[in-house]
Amino acid sequence: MVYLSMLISALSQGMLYAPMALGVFVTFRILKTPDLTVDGSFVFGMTVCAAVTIAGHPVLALLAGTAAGALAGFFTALLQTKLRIEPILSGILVAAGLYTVNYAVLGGQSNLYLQYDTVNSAGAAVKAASPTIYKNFSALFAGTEGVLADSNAQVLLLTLIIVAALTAGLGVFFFTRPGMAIRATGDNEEMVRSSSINADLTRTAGVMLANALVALSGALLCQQQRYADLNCGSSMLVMGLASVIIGQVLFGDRGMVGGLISAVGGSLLYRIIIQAAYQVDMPSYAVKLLSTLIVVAALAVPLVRRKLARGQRGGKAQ
Amino acid sequence: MASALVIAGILAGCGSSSSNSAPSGTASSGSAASAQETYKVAIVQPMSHTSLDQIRDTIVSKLEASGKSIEIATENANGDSTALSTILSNCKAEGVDLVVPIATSTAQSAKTVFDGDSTPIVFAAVSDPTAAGLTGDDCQYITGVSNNIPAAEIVKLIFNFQPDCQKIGFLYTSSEANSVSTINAAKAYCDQEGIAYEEVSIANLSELQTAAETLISRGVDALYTGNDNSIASAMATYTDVAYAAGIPVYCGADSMVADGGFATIGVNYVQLGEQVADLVLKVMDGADPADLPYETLSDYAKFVNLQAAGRFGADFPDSAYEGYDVLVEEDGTSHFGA
Amino acid sequence: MSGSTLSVRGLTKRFEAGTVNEKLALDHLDLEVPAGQFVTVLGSNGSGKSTLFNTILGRLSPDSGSILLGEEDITRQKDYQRALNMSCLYQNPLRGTAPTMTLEENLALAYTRKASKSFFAVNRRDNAYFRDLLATLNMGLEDRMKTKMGLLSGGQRQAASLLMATVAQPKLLLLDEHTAALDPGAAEKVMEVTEEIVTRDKITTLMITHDMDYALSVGSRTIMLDAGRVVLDLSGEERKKMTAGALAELFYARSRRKRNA
Repeated sequence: MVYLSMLISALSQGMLYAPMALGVFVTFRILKTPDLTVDGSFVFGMTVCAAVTIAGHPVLALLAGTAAGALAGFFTALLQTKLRIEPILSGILVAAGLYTVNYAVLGGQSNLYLQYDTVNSAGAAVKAASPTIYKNFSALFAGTEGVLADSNAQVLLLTLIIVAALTAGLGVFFFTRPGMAIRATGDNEEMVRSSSINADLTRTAGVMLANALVALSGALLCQQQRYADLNCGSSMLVMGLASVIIGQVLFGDRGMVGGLISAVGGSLLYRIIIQAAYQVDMPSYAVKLLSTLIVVAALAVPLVRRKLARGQRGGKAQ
Repeated sequence: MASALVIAGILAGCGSSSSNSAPSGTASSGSAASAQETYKVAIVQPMSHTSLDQIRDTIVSKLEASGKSIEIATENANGDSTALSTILSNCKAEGVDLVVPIATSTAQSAKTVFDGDSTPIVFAAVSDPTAAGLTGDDCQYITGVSNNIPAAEIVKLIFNFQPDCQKIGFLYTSSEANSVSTINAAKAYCDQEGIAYEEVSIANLSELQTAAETLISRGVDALYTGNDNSIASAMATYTDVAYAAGIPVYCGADSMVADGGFATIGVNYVQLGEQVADLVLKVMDGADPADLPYETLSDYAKFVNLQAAGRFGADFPDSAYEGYDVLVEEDGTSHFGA
Repeated sequence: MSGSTLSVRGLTKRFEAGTVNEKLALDHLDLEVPAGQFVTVLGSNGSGKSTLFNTILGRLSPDSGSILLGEEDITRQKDYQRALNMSCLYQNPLRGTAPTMTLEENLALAYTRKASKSFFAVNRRDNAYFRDLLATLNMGLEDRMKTKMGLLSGGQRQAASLLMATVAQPKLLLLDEHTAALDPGAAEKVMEVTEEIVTRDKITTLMITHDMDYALSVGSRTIMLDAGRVVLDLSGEERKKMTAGALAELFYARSRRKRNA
């Protein structure tokens, strides 16, 4: 039973970071450019969501957080397309600038708890916890028993619904005209221009979409953990890449929709592995090495597969 | 190009980490065989750092010295905030009886993870528990010890040695909640009392030297930094720049004075650890956390570093040093940790 | 269903002006191509052929001169705007297609400029049209519409690229040695299809080639570029009388003269 609750806890965390994995998938796999804005836009989604949640609008807060990510992506794309700055550098510059912006959104602090000032029945000034989507959702389960009584399970369920809808939406989007134009931009930008499509516009749309997804993850996490903190963005891109790569290796290359689902799966699996690593009495530095080895192994699997296949076919190149 | 990025990511290391190695505690995989009397306590810290380690070690030794049957597990997120929730979930799943989160975000994550659970949480070193959401009606099981330093005391510290101080320079790391709130309180006090000040914040340690030089160029007579975990780990750089210009550095923690700062009225982390341990023992004996409002330090640490005084050419009267314990002698002998 | 006239007037392009490496790629080049004409373009390396194409396509902007497509002056238009009315096919079959996307997806993208207003890029109505087009090639591609472009052979890819280039009924078609990298069988097939489509749709076409036979047998006019100018312009009787051998001689004479100068 202990293991079940740990599994649910890992899955709920993995599901919260799944939109970020989807965002990294869009830039890393579809647009085929690295985007380092992620560390900044994740926190941006978190801080904007915090500000709007405290104002009393939890659902609007999620949308606002997502929009914030899109805005960040817009600036990164602007640097890339109009100023012709290298993609890696564009991302770094925007992420660095976002640090100041995030600080300002939090009102000059580095940590903000989701609560607001109110007066209690005795007339004293107190702070009350702001409503979040998870809190409202949990109210539906008051009094239930069994697996769903666990708050992590409730978080998992609500986030799963959101992520499933999101993945389905993306899967459909990438077969529409604008979606396919974005896919082609990553594949062969020249061809897109030759088809009389403005490639700068499609690239901008792609980067905005990716960062909107990443920021949504930040917003969801903010509502789940009930605070926003500037330190939450560190090594987000690496986590996202690890999720995408693990997902791709384990679930194979199954086209667009398969790729999206495998990114989500990779996020879940990654958190499960990390959770398991804590269970085994590993010293702290070893866990970091373990994560590294997992990603290296994941990257090596395709090469090993190819070598084995070539060996079986007697060395015929394709 | 994408694979180069991934390799860079690998080299930077990914994922999070924890440590199950305590000075004398045991691992958190519960021993079902032991008697139900064993009280399981988990101490969770966000990173490794002198002050935080001091708190942890003090709590551990005081709990062990109590003679009660306590099983202590210590956890460390090693700077990865995403690991906090994983570590705390594990603690909850293993059925700990009490959690001691160290620092603000750890305590906030603990509150979320244990929400709806009756497991008591005794936080350590949260400078503003109310702002952090740890004191409301939904915090029945939460109590702890705040490391808040009253702003008035800070300014008094400086004026004790430099009654003619015209301008104070505040230096802090913008992403550290504790440090920021301390400085904000100090600034508000200065505004109230009409004391001039300058401030510079840094996002990471590489900016420390420039920040200190900037403040000095603006004509400050004294520099102050609160209990700032980042800057505390770089006192050498900080003091080199300041003392070369003859400006004393006042800090918020005794460990910072031990590492080169001049004087502190601040958090004595051993004192903090002992108060936390006392609270833990009270809760263990049956006290209801709801009846225990959070505590502030009952005793502030007032320390000076005479070697530092020599470095910036101090010529303060002996009377100024009264009431301050010498943490580091003129010749560099340190009494830190004694 | 027909191409437009192409007018190139006084087109000049200098690379690295003012430095030691200065090169005059186009030297006040004039060229008038009536609507629907198929012109083959010859020239040694450095004669200005690629620069001419890149300038017409909008990849490079000329230092002076103008380009008119039909009545419209397109000299200042961006490359993707011009792409509404012109297409280009390259020697490298990989260049004009998106390798990880399927044949039908590539065709749908190429057709964007003139496609039906459906929300989905790959849809039944357009697909039926593509299927008919592919069938005219007689290469069996109509059965491979869901194959990824990267998996098709060079000849198949180039034929598909040709269709992609012409599916949106461009007013101008530029071919940059588009059969040079194919094996002889595929090259012949692709050239055959090229002539068929160009003649049927009366698309104004310019084709760069190094093959003297093609240069004279395909299309109705042959020009040779040298040092950024048109130095030879054959059509009608003059062209019919020219043989591949004589043409080659003219070609080499120019290079010899250049070497000796």
